[in-house]
Amino acid sequence: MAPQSPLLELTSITKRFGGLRALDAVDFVIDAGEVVALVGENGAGKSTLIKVITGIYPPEGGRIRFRGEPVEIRNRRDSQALGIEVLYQDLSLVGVMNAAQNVFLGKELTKRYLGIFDLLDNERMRVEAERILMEELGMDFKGRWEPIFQMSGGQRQAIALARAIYAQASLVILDEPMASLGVEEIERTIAIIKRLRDANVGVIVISHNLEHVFAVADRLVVLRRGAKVGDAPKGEMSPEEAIALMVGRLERKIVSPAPARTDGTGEEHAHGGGSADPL
Amino acid sequence: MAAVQPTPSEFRSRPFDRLFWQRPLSYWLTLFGPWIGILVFGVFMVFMREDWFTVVNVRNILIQASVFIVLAVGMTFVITGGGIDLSVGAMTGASALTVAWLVKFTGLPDLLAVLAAFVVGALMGAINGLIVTRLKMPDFIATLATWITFGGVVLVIIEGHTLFRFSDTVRFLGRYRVFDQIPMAVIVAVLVAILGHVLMTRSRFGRYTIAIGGDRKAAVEAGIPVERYKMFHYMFMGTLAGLAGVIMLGRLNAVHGLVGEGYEIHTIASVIIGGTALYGGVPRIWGSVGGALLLGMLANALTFLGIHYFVQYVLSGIIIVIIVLVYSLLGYRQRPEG
Repeated sequence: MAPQSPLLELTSITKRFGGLRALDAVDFVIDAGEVVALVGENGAGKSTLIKVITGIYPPEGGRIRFRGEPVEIRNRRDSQALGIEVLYQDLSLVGVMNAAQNVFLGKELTKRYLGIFDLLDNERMRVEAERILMEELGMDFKGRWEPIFQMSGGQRQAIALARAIYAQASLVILDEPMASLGVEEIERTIAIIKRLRDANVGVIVISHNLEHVFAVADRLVVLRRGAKVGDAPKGEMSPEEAIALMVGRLERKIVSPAPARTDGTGEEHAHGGGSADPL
Repeated sequence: MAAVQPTPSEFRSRPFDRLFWQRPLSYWLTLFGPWIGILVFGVFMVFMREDWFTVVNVRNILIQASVFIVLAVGMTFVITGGGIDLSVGAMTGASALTVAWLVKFTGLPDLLAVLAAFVVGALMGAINGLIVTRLKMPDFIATLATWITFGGVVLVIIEGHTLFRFSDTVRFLGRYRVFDQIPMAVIVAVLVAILGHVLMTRSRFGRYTIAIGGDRKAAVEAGIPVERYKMFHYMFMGTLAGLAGVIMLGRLNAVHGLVGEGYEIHTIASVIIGGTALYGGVPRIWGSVGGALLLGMLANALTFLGIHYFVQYVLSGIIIVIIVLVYSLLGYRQRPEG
């Protein structure tokens, strides 16, 4: 991988549904260690773009490059192989299971007994899940045994994120991550997103709420009727401008079609994004 | 945010984490529900009848319960995986008949005839599994249909006769006693319960069973082959029904067309009394064992008290309602919904 290549680069992506042009020659770039907010009104093409990235809707036109290499993402398995993880609003967790069981679901750790039996190593999974949740996500999770349906939305979200971290995600897509959370939990989610960024993971946040978006994103991408109409670092786009772009009062504002940095490393970029962060 | 930033040493194993004070009382009452029932009812019976709590009678209860313990362990997997198997009674009867028919009408050695019961049980389970996974029929309807079908096949083959008197090899699991004291059937039931416990808590089979019954969609998204595991559940149940059939045949030393009738109700009741969630995702293997034991004890005790067989049904039903009502009044929520 060339150091200057962005994590994921979509060029001129087009997707039609019958006569409707859901995406019209959209360019989209995200770097490792970058948080990009994807905003737009309902039907602007946000979910379609995400489904192109995850392979659920293969595009009709355009190119996708991953770490500089041209790739084809034809289905969810392809996107999983690239380390692309999506957290939908429902989080896809099993409510009756505890935190550790959910973090390791489908990827259980085992221990060999009597030389032939591979049994689940529940203790190691619990300790490891606690380590990810407490150390990497900053949650207070010590000794949590109960089924996760009894936990808060924010805690469940952290567990879903721990799943993504354990899967060694390169890109995490969060669909309305703060929609159903309380004030304190939103702060925690924002902190988790920043931790992911610091771990050099690319994060795409889809949200209606510009306040949350401005609290966490390094860069804003605005979609309107299937076209990209806004793309700027957070410092160069005001919330008023973003709204104007979303509803069409402002025609177009594309400051940075590609990440500003083209020659640094992800770490440097993460620090750059951090220093521009007013919070 | 005031994040806890522990040092790595804090992540070491803490064996005391799961001690009882960390969970609400209602959780433990649900977990030990049938065992509390056994204790309370046992004390009641000791005071009612002096000749009830004897080695011979307790052993009788255990032998009678062992068939249902074996079935209830299998049913716990099926129900936890979001299914239900109404055909267990018919499968148990059909397995017993298979052994009887093979030793009476073919020259097959007794041991092979007994092994054939397991194969036939697994095949019947596979039929259930195929109807559920391939024909996409609801578990309830699929096994309702096979219940009637398997039961019908038994009646067609046996034509109203009774087959009886079998060799010690055939009766080994049902009648043999280790040191002339400990019934083989009880040992088998305990081993099946331990196997069920280990599978449920320490194997992928058990873990994925819980995931499928807990949230099928999430299980699919985690990459679990849901239909393959559903298939395993029904085949596991069928194999255990084969085992139950062999135990039953050994104990009764006879098989007729209606043998196994009502076992499905008794088995499902044992599992529900045991605290396993009927909607899936929450298994209670030892609860199912206790449930089977409690129902067996109840039937035995009511007979002891001279209460007519038919009235026993009424009382058993009422006691099931009371136990399940207590669970819901305790307010311990096992599942997000239902």
